[in-house]
Amino acid sequence: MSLKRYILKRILYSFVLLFFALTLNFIIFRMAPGNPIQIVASGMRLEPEQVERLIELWGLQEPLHVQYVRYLKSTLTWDFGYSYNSLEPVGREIMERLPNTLLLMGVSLFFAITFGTVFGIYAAYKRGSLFDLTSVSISLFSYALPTFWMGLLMIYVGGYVFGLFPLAGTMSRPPPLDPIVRIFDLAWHLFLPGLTLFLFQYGAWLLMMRSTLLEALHEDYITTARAKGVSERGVLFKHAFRNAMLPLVTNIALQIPGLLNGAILTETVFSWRGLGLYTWSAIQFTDYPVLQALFYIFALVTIVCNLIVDVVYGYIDPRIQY
Amino acid sequence: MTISTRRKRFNLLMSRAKGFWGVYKQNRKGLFGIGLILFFVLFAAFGPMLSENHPVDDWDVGGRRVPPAWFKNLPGYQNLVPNLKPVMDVGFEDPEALSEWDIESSSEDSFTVTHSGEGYDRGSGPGSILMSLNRESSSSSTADIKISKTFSWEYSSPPKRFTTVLSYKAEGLEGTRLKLGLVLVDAKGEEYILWQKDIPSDTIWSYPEYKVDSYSIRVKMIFPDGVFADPAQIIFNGAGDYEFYFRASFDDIDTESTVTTRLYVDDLSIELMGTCYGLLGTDQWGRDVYSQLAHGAKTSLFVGMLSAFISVSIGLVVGLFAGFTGGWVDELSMRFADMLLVIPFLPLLLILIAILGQSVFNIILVISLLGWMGFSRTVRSQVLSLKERTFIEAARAAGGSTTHITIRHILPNVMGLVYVSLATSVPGAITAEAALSFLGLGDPSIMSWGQMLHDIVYYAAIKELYWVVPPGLCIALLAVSFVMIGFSLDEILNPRLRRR
Repeated sequence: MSLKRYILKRILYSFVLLFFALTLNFIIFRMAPGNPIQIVASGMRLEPEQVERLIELWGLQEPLHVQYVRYLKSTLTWDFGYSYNSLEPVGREIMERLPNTLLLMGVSLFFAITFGTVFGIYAAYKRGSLFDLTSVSISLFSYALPTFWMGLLMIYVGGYVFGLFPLAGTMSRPPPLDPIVRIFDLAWHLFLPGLTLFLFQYGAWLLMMRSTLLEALHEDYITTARAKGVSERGVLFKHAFRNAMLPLVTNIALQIPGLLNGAILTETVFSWRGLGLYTWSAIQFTDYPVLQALFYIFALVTIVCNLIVDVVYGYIDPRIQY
Repeated sequence: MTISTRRKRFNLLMSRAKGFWGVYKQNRKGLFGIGLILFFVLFAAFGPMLSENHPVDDWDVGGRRVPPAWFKNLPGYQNLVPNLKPVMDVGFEDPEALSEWDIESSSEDSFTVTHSGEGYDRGSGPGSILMSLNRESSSSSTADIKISKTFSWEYSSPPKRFTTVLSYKAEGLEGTRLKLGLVLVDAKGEEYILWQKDIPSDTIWSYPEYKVDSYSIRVKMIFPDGVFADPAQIIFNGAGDYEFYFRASFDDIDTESTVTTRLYVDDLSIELMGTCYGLLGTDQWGRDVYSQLAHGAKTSLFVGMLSAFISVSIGLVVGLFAGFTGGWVDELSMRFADMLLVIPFLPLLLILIAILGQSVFNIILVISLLGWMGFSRTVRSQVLSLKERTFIEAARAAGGSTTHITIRHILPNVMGLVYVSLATSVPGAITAEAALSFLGLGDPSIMSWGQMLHDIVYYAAIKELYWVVPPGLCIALLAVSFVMIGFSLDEILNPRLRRR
């Protein structure tokens, strides 16, 4: 099988996964108690004609399979209907919040990978030393700390004790007009949630980098390199690290779902106006269209990340069997 | 199976367990994990017994949102006041109880103060103070009475809240106006009339409710600041002797009337809720934080271990079945596992709990139904490699059925993985439950550590470190201890998988 066919197969498989996620999404929200009319009209007294009109408008009178096909069509065309709470189009609200979530996740992931890799390599280089021991135990503990609790402590220390950072929010109110000030304001608000989400991932990255490097150091080609007289540093960076890069790449995709969990909790703690906070508030209002849309987007992100990694893997690892 | 073989088996099992323990105790990480878990198990089992307060339902066991009692030793917290009952409810069970009170009354012959056997029985049992005004003999029949008690207040700072209790019953009010009042006098002699009432006619016991509660609007409105006033702070403004008294005045309106007016008073007391409480203080509603922590340990261990057990069992069964059967069963189950793996865990968990309802069993069910996929893949790959070994071939040649081979030969070889996975699945389940409760989707009738952190955010109590630190630290420590056990079991049971 050629590389092209392999990639095509992965893409097809991703569509199957997406279809499964969409179907599950449809079933779950059909199972949900209470019909949409009751939720939207809570507190209002609707005339029977109005109820009928709403049922017709949402197509609730049609058989399930017709509704299902219409749901698939509208979801794939990014039409998620209207929020029960704000009565705004869900698609627009999501697009407003998506950049904030991507910023938070991206920045924290970038720093977690950078620091985790650097310290992981150093710990593996100095294996058995005091540095190795402390960084491993710190990573283990930070890995086990509940994200939301870490967020609370951050707010306490950074916000109350030192008073350096804002306690919540994405931007000052009213937002500054000058674009440069605006960027600084955003970064100032991003610091604490970003640090929380960074610590959430950092430990895992360090441990993984360290263990893959140590594993690679047991391979035969390392023995060969050592026998050739390559310096220990050269062995580590030129031989071991290059081969340890592969699991690193795969792990980025594997980390994304976990990162989403962390982002939801972090955003809730810091009132960071992203998709996580949106999920939380949608649950408070039983806002089913919003939840349905968010669920689809989270699944989509995960599937796309998996696909990207599969493709990248196909390119960079010559050992892979298609 | 005869008894002797059974005993032999038992002995073999015991010696293997002993041998395992011998290896295990060499492992420092593992011992640390076991010790921590033992601590949490004991805490969950006996911790709740050390506090009789219910974690959810017992409100106002102390002042609301107050630090623990041992904070007294920290700088800046020297003036903490414990819960006090300076004027006890004596119940007036016998005539001698009257002597503990100072009674001043107008010296009319027709007015007597005695002990009565009748009392508010549901409160403190029989017995009460009886004041009776006999209007048969004399023409002018008015009387005033003051029943008081002085107590010393040795703290320079005020209590968080005070409440007083009183129950009374009046008879024969025809032609008499009866006025009751509760008064507190501070160290400087300032009088605060906290409660007063005119009684037109009343022949049943009043419920011994909080007649005066420093948190109630009615009491706050006595002071110039109105709703913004804190009566406890205004009245208890310094150390000294305070006086608490009950007063009653009988006024004759209709001189023709000859009825004897009787007033019974019972359950007279004042209670001060302090600015510190117990081992870990109190939450927003004056509930015991220690008791919440202890009950939370029970919840976390229960949810964590049960969900881990269920999900590992599902993973084991699916993995064994898929691995050994192969073919389309394998393909189908592994593809299904793949699909569940790409669905983000927390959003699905949140949505399912929001839809199914917030009960602890739903939480366990959903966590375990979403947690088996990873382990089933591990088991499957292990089974696939075991299947090719010669001993399985031999067993098959000897005529062993698939079920027999799976249970007798394959299962014992994957048990090592099962134990490790049991230990490493628990932290995930514990943090998942904590995250759910933190987001407000926990079981409202049960206290858990996540629920405590949820309350902290909900009531903006991040500064209350005595309340913030314990639940988070407990979640982290319990999770770490299970991870440690998982690591050390992995090192001991699966030495071939270990390359470090």
